[in-house]
Amino acid sequence: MKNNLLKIFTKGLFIENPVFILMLGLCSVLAVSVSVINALGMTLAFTFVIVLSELTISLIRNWIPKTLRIPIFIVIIASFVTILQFLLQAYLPALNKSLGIFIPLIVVNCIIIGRIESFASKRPVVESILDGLGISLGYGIAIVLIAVVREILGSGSILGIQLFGSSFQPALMFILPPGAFLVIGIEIGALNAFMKKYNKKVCSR
Amino acid sequence: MKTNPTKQIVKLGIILSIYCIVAALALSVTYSVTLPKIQEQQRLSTERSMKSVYPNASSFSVVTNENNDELFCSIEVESGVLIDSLYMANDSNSSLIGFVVKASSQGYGGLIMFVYGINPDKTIEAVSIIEQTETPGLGANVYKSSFLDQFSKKNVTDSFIVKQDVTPITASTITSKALTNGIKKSVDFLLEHHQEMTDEK
Repeated sequence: MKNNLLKIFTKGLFIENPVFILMLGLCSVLAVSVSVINALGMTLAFTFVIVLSELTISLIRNWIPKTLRIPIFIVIIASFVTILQFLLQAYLPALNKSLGIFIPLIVVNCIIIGRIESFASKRPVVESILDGLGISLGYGIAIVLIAVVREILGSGSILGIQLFGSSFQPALMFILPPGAFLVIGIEIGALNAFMKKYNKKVCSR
Repeated sequence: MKTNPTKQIVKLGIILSIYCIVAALALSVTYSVTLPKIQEQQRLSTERSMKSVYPNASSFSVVTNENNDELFCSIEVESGVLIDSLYMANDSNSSLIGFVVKASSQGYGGLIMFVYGINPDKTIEAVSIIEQTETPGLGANVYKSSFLDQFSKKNVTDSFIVKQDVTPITASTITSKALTNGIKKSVDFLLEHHQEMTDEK
């Protein structure tokens, strides 16, 4: 039982990593992985929305008519996103400013609706919360890994701290979408290579 | 089992409305709780920007006419450029240091809201960005002093043309133009319509 719960949590990290394996919601990944601080902020916002949405939908899953499920999912996700935006405007205006348009766009993030459709609408509450947390952590790890590379190469800084002297000319391409695709592609490749090696080791044992 | 389709539609409609009503209630509660805090934050951020333009000013007051009505309240100077309000910056002896203009201009990714100071000698004191939603890493660098500092002490009668007397942000010409144009157009409008500003003091 405990093992099962752990499995639900950890599958979001690798086996079903929303960015590197499922490759869902890449649009917002491109946009927020420009800097590490944005990636961390987005992870927090994303966690808030996905955990609360999965929790709510799992609670009411027996009262959702099948034909109405998508509109109801959207209403619930959109409400949490709007609540999040009010809270950010009131208490963390700096984060709200730096994430800007990407907060409202969490509504249409397909990772969230995907997890709700395939998981939270069928499973009990505790499992759904763990699923939300695992997926958020996997999402966070992925976008921070992408953001680290992009910020160092594209802005010459990490967490806003300049790493090189003022004569350093950063590669502008890495903060533009093409650079993001390159970084995502290379990181997915590296992860696949690692998984292959790891799986071989496991099998040969 | 055959169900009456009209009945089915009505039933589904009622269920969906119930969900929407609950969501709306939750939203309105959050909104009313956070609204005062949000307004407070907006006021603070405007004040901070005004203070960064005139650090020595002790008070900022809205410019009004004889009837105490606010002059220059949300005036669209040209499409995309809006003067939000005009303030006078006074020092501790309540003598005028300059005018602070709060304005906005349509940028690449939405409105850029900014404040700037006009000195009595018709130069720009400084520019400060309140809010912007430009592309992160590119146009969003509009708030950096490396770009904004070039406006300081600039004469308002200068031409304000990007790539001539204004150096744009790398790869963000639209953002640079939006801000430059926003300043120039609002300054021209104010000089034309606000007599006091042109009077040398």
